[in-house]
Amino acid sequence: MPPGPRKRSFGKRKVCRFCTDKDYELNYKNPKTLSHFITERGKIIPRRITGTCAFHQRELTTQIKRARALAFIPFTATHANYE
Amino acid sequence: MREYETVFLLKPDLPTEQISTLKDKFVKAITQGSGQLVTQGDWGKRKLAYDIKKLSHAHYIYLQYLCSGEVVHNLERLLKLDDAVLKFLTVKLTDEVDPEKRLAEGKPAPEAPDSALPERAPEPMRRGGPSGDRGRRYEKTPPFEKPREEAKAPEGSREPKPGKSEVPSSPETTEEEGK
Repeated sequence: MPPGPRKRSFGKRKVCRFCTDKDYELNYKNPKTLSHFITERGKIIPRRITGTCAFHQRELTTQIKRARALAFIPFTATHANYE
Repeated sequence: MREYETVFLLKPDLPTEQISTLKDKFVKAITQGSGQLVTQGDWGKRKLAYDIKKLSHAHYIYLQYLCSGEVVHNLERLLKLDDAVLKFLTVKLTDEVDPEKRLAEGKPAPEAPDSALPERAPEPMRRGGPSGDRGRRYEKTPPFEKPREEAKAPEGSREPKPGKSEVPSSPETTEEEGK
């Protein structure tokens, strides 16, 4: 790799999942999709990790927060009562 | 006219008639206030991601409608007052809709969402650990620990057990013989 200002030296660049696939619905009523963008603790994964673009990350955040409000996904792992 | 959608959660143990009467009550609040219902859906009883009022399940109802802001205000007031409603969320879908056009289009009610709840409970929080709640710095692949298989040693050790049970029986026989 030629020397340059780029610090990232690993692998290929991640691209936004929502930009590449138009059918990939981003909606609070679709918690299965949202669950890919939260940690097992229920925290929203930063876009530097997932590669989501700024536009979709903003939308993703609101949708995750709506889904949390309706108890589709947990706010945190500790208050969940799994069996 | 604006387009809104409302999802509300009812207590899970209500009889079906009461659920439908409640739903009619809220639909009426929309239609009487010069609003028009687009679609409605019943997602049934679902498991909650966290307990609400100590309940682990709730009955989800979905409404999509066209109305003005005051109607939403009135609907939300009714939802707030009703004890059977655990939670509700109203989202504005579009500003400025032509009602006739929109109603002509029609739209199927969205299907009940898939559950996103994990099958396995996450590991308990490690208190006092080096990272606390910060987790593991988002590793590329989440660590997956296989459930520990029970060591097979106990099975082998169980085999002599029937032999042991025979041991006490043999002195009994010898005693009887002695008598």
